[in-house]
Amino acid sequence: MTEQAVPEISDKRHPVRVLLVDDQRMVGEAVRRMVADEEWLEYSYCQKPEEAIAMAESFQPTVILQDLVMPGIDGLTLVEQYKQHEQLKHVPAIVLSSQEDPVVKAESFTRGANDYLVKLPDRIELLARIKHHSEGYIHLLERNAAFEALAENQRILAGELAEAADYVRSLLPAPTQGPVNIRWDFESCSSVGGDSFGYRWLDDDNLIIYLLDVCGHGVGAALLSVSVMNALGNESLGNVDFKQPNAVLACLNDVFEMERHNNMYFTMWYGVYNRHSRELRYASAGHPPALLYRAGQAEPECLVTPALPVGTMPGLPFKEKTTYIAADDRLYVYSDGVYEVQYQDGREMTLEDFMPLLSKPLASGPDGLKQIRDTVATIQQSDIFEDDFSLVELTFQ
Amino acid sequence: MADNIESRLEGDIMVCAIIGRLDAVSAENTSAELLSLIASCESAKVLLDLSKLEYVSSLGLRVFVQAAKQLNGSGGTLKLCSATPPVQKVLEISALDSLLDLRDTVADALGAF
Repeated sequence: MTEQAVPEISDKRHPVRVLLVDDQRMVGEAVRRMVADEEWLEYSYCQKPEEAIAMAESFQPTVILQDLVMPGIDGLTLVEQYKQHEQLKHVPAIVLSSQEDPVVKAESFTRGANDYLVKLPDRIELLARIKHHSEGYIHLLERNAAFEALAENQRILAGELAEAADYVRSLLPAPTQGPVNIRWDFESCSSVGGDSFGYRWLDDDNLIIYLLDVCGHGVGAALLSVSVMNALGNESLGNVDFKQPNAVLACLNDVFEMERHNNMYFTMWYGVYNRHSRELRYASAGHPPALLYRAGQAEPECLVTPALPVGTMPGLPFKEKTTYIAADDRLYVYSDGVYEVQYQDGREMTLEDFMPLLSKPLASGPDGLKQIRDTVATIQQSDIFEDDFSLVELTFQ
Repeated sequence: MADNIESRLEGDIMVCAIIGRLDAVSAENTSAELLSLIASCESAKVLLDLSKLEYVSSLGLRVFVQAAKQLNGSGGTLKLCSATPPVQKVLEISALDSLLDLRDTVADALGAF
């Protein structure tokens, strides 16, 4: 083998550092001369074994050459101490021994040594082993650094997603009492979905209620959802009549055309309730039906007008329907995240499976609706939902 | 590339069977693959066979919408057939069953072009 056979390590972030621990100064000097011309390598020598740990801590070697027989402490005991040391445990330790003894070799490996050389080794062989073990250790350091960077990025991303979810939640209206009692349960999924909803009295007589679900997850979906909420909340949709559900959906369909919004679109349910006429006009777009439970009836009426999701195709007409509300009727508007979960046997939960959960009036108070979320969580055996969970209940006086 | 589309020619009609699920994981790749198939095929008539499609989410609807837009833009026609019950419900809610002429069987749909 020639000297040219040992390629250089060019990694600048983790230089190769060799620490020799040997009580014989002569050995220290011999090894120094062997590596003196190697610019890719930093060398340090420790003559006193009792100082080896402290010196390794400060020098941060990528490989330790450890003499086997020393006064006061034997080399393998030191190797064991390296392997129990938090900072040094992964640093490769090469035992230097004057004996070519299989039993000693076996014990060395048993007690944590990574390699074994009979001293003084050939220079080329020594450099090759230093390089081999240092490269492995440096790769480990780089991998650990990459994992830490990835974990840090994930922490930052999770924080930003949580912030987006908190912002969406902050825009949701408070539960309200009056001619219509309204309460809701909302849980954002871990990756932030695109659900949002709102309700307000347009005037003394007319209440609007809407819920939308942007297809897809993440901050982009949340941003679009917030944009739609703002357009509806500020009535900034031109001259559209907010008492006409089909007109509102048609206007949103043109304003939020998917090609102009990063190919995102949304499903939506929109209704207007007039408390004097007790008329509920509604329209939906690709959204699961709102469920109207008449007082004393277990089976709901499904309020839906089939149409493509909002934004998918410009110029499409939307239909609306009308029904009439009686006292104590309950209306549930929700996103598909409340029931699109899997049973433990892998079967998909369906809307038909979900409906019976609402057949009887739920407990009053803030936890009444949460019972439903808890039940669905039990079905999927997880409190973590893959989609936003949005459930709004309106009880009419 | 999506591996959940099987395509064949029936006369001058390209029949694409979509298999498995169309959800947040698969919708984008499947849509890109289908659009590529449509672009590379000389036929302007495309039938999507949904008999092996188990589930479609609202996000998965983009596969049908974008294919329909591409074909409409070039004077072509897209039809659907053989939807499984859960898929049919989603198509009904989104009106795609009527907009894209959903038929019960492949033979029925082929005869309707």
